[in-house]
This record gives sequence, C-alpha cells and structure tokens, in this order.
Amino acid sequence: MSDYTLGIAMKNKFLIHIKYGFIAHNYQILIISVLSFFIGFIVAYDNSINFHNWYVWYMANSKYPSQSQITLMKVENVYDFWRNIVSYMAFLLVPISSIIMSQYEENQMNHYLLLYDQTRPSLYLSRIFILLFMSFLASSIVWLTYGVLFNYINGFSVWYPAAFFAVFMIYFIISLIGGCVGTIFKKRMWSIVISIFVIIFLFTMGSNAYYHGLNIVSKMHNIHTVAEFRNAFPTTLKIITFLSPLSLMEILNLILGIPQTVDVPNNISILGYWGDVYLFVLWITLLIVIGYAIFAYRHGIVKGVKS
Amino acid sequence: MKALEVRKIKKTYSKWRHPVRALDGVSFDVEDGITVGLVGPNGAGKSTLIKIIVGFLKKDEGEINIKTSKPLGYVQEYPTFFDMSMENNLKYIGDLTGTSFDKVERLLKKFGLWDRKSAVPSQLSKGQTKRLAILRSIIHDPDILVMDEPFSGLDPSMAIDIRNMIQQLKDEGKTMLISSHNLLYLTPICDRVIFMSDGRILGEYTPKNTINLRVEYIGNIPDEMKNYIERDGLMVIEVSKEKVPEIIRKLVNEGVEIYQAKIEGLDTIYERLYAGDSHEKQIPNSY
Repeated sequence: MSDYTLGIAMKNKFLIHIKYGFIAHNYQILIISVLSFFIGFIVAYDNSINFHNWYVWYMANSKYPSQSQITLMKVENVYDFWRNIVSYMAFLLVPISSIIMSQYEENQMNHYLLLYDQTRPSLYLSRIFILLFMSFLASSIVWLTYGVLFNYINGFSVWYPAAFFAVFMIYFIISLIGGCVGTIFKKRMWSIVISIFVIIFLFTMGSNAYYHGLNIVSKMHNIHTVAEFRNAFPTTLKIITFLSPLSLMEILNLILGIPQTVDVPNNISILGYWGDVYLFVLWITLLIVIGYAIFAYRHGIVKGVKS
Repeated sequence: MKALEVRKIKKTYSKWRHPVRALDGVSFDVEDGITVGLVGPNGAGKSTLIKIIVGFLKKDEGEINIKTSKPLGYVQEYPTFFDMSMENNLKYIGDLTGTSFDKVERLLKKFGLWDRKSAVPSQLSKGQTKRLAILRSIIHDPDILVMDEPFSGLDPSMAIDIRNMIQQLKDEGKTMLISSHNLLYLTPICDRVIFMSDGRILGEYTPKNTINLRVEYIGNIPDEMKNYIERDGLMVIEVSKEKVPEIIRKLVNEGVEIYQAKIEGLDTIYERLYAGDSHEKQIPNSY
C-alpha cells in the first residue's frame, strides 16, 4: 500500500471510529452535558449575585465610581468563576474520560477492532477526538450558562472568548489525564478509582506546594508575593507550574488581561502569553504521546501473525 | 491445502514470579474448508491458543501461519460493544471492512435477529449475544473462522441453535477452529477433534471414524494387543470403525472367548483421557 492510499485508509477508518465512538459513548457525553449545566448554573448564580451585591454597594458608597474598577472586578469575578468550575468539573471529567478510554480495553473490543483496522493511530486518535469534543461541549455549556445568567442578573457582558478558550484547553488537559489513566488501567472500575485519586493528588499537591512553598520561602528569604518569588526563583516557579496542570489555570490571569502589577496571590503567569500557550501545547502533546505509547504497546502484536 | 499452521507454540504466564505454563509446544494444521474442534477442560490452554492465533496474545516460541487474504473471523466468548445496538455492532465492523449495510440486514434476517436489531447487548439473552458475536465475525465473509467457547453458558436449545448456525457456515465451506469443552455439541460439526490438557495435545481424532471398542473376554490376549488391557477380562481399543471386524476375528482366531463387545464414541475417550483431570491451572483472568 502506498503512503497516499495508506493515508486515505487511515482517514476513512478514523472517521468510522469517530462515528461509532459517538454512538458508543453517547451516555457519557450526555451525563457531562447535563452536569455541566447544573454545576455551571449553581456556581454562575452564586458568582453573579456576589458581583451584583458588590456593584450595588460600590455604586452606593463611591462618590466617583471608576469604570476601570468595575471592569477589574468583573474580570476577577470571571476568574473566580472559572477557577471554581474547573475544580468541580475535574472530578467529573477525569473519571468519565477514563471510562471512555478503558471500557473497550477491558473487554478487548479495541483489540478486536484492530483485527479489521491495523492502523492503530486512527483508533486511538478517534478516542482522543471524543475527549476533545466532550471538553469543548462541557466548557461551552458552562460558558453559555454563566454568560447568560451574569448578563441577566447584572446587565453586563462577561463572554471573554479568550478565557473560554483557555478553560477549554484546561478541560482537555484534565480529560487527557483521565484518558491516560484509562489507557494504563484497563479494568474500568480501577481506572475510575485511580483517576479520581490522581486528580485529588494533583489538587492537593498543587495547592500545598504553592502555598506552603510560598510560606517557607517568605520566612527564609523575606519574600512575600508571587511576583517577588518569580523574580528570585524563576526556574523553580516554572517547574512547579509545569508539573501541575492545574496551575496552568493561573495563566487565565494573563489571558483575561488582569494587569501583572496587580499583586493577587494567584498571579504566577510565567512565560508571557505565548510561552503560556506553549505550556498548554506541551502538556497536551505529552499526554497524548504517553497514552499512545501505552496503547501501541498493548496492541502491538496484532501484526505479529503472518497471513 | 493448509489454511492454518500452528507450530510448536509455547506460552508461559508469569504473575508475581509464579510462572504457569499455558502452552507447551502445541502443533497442528487446519486444512482448507474443514472444521477442527479444540477440546479440553478449563485451563487446558484452548483460549490461550485461540488468542495467540488471532493475535490477542504474544507467544513465547513457535510459529503461526495463516493463509488468507481477509482478516480472520473471531468469535469471542462474550464481549460486545455494549453501548451499541445489535445493528450498530454489526455495522461498525461492516464499515471497517467495506461491507454494505444490505448484508447486515440480510444476516440479521437470516439468523432471526431482525426484530431485535435495536436492542443493546444488555437486553439480549445469552444465546442472542452469541449469535451476535458470530454474525459480527462473518460480516466480512472471512475464509477462516476462529471461535472461543461458542456454547458456554447456553441452555440446550440455545446451544443447538448455535450449533445449527455453525453448521450453516460449515456448509458454506468456511474453515473453522472451535474451542469448547462441550463434546456433545461440538462433535457433530467437527471433521477433526484435538484433545488438549495442561498446554499439550493429548490426541487427535476423527469423530465420524474413531470409536472405542470395549471387549469383555476370557482367555489369553495376543502379545501385540496386551497394551489395550484395561483390567483382567476387559480391553479397550481406540480404533476406526472399519477395523472392528478384523480385531474381533483376530481375537477369536487366537482362542479368546468374547462374551461382550461394545462400541463407544468420542465422549468415552474424553472421559478416559481426562479422568481425574478436573483441576484448573490458575491462569490470571487478565489474560
């Protein structure tokens, strides 16, 4: 088979796997959609009301209300909302992603499919595409819910497409972590349990390393803000940020346009806009490659049979 | 012509440093258009061998040659795409192999599953799930079919349904390798049966020809036949049907008094081969 015809065959099989992948995983996608709406609604309502209360208070107590202060609070409200929602959704996205990747590993149906389609990347990438779609759908539903509700309660628009895109990428990374666990642990129940532990571990380690690290460093070196920490230990901060995918959420600050001079504790954006984008891409690539390596190793023997 | 050649296959599972020999140099051939049964108790190595043949497991040693231009048809013991309807289960493989959807419809109607086409596997009986597995494996019209325990967990009427289905495929000229521990359903459809135990082949028989000749006698058995003496006064000989008169004649000519001669089938050979062999090797489930 020439490279060209192999390419066409792979593309066709990829599309077939996507088509039946959506049929096979429609329940998982439906569950994520419904829960995204409910969780998004609850958190959006809470945040919108908080902003509304602040706004009423601010307008009543300021002689000269500043438009820039209102914009800043609006942006911080958006940031706060997404930070909360990512934490909640992680506990749903990760186990569901692990189910999507493991459910046909456990009963060997993935291997069965490879009897008929020996282009392993097409099968693997079709599953990744479903994770990508699921992440997009979940973040879109939450984004729309928040946007509409905030606008309804406060009369302001908080769409920020850049923030939506960043959160979509974070959702995708979280899904890929679940997907990796699902590929490694092919028993579905184990993959669910372990993926939840992994996400708890990442959350706990991320916040512990961040806040305790900052505490210790502040006592040892008289450093009190993240900005000072970044100046003193740039490499350490980069490593911490890179190792914890949830820390990538902090990049929202920059993308949302919160000025870097505002010394909020979460402001650890480290590589500038494009540098942060590259970090996203690096994480995504790494997780896809690790998952594929495991997948290819497990299904690498089909071609061993001579025919 | 040989459709499938299996040569000196060895496989050892090791879990927690406790190796379990699953296959110990298994060799056999399957000729074009014939049906071969793999028979043996649980843990004999049948499923391991089947999985190695279809490429689900890696062999430690040996060689497998499959002479076909199409992918094998493989009937697994139970697995399905459990979130898809029966129709989509078939269409998925149909799409991958370039088979038209008309054929899916034709097959579902032919094997009496058209009314259940929208049912997902959890809504199907075990017999229907088995039929689905067989249909999925023949959707691309393979030359060679490999089936792993097609009769397990079925009640007699369902097992007979499945057997009839396999018989239809046999009549179409498919080459088949079927593993089972159920001789009752397997024997009538097989041209040859291979008995396995502890990862080795104990013997190969042709069900239509092989019988046990059980002779109760008084007298001295000729030396060349003494191997067949089971106990004093009873000898059991595995032999083809055509040779029975010759053996009886020889015993009578040697002055042996025969007061009962009984012919028994393959099931008796099975019982004798596996007497006391009910232990199962602890092969990890994950394989």
